[in-house]
Amino acid sequence: MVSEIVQSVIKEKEQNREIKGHKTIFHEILDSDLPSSELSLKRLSDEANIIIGAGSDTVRHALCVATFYVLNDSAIHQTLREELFKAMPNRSTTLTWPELEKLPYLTAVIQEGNRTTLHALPADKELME
Amino acid sequence: MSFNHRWNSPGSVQVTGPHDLHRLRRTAINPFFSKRQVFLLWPYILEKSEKLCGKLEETYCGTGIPLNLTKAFGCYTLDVITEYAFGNSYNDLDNEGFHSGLTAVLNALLGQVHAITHFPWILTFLDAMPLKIQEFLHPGLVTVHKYHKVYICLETLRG
Repeated sequence: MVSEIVQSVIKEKEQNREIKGHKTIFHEILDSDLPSSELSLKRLSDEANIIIGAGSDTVRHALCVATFYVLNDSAIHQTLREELFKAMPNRSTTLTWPELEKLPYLTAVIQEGNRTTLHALPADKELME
Repeated sequence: MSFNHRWNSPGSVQVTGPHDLHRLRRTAINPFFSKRQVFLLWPYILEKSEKLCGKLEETYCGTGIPLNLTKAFGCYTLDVITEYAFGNSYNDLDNEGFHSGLTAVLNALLGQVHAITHFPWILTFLDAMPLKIQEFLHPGLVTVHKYHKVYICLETLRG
């Protein structure tokens, strides 16, 4: 499915051309110590398929679950909003990643979101309580 | 029972059984998921976040139009990971109503993972068919093939 992209990166490397845009995961794999048997087009395309699925669906689900729990509880919603408004008073303020990591409530919401997204958890009611 | 057919991607890290081989493959992609790498690609992630926020403000904020977050976040995460990993974003956030064919298909295919884990020949059987028959038997594949075509076009354009 994404074999065309893999192919273009392989070609880029073979011809020693400059990288278009930023480095991709295939540049990283081709630069690694993997033996050439591990660098076939089929293998790399398989890897790419899984990265698309694992990189999008899991995060999408975690975001949805976290958003639901935040909106569902007005106290959590309010506290989170207050922290975010304080850190970013207007629309044009953009915090960097290390700055965002320093916000305690946001960090807790993200961690709780990740925890509640795990499907296995609600199976054990006692653990939840 | 073998797990390596589950996603029809037997060469990926995720389904590699033998420990040493799994470790070898995993080590090769480790740098890509390091803190340093996320930091380097942060501007790209931020750009997609800005795009999502802009769309929410533009179309949904205060208008009373219901927002399907599953779709919106689906477009967002897909755009981020395709840009982050492949340097070639799907740009699904541009779609009207956050419609993302691939997210819908991923969800449809996830439902069949159990069956395919136990009956891997289903995939062998499907793979042996011409595209048109595959699409008839499994309409979701139309979208997968469409994305495949988009990619071919993109690559041709880029030379």
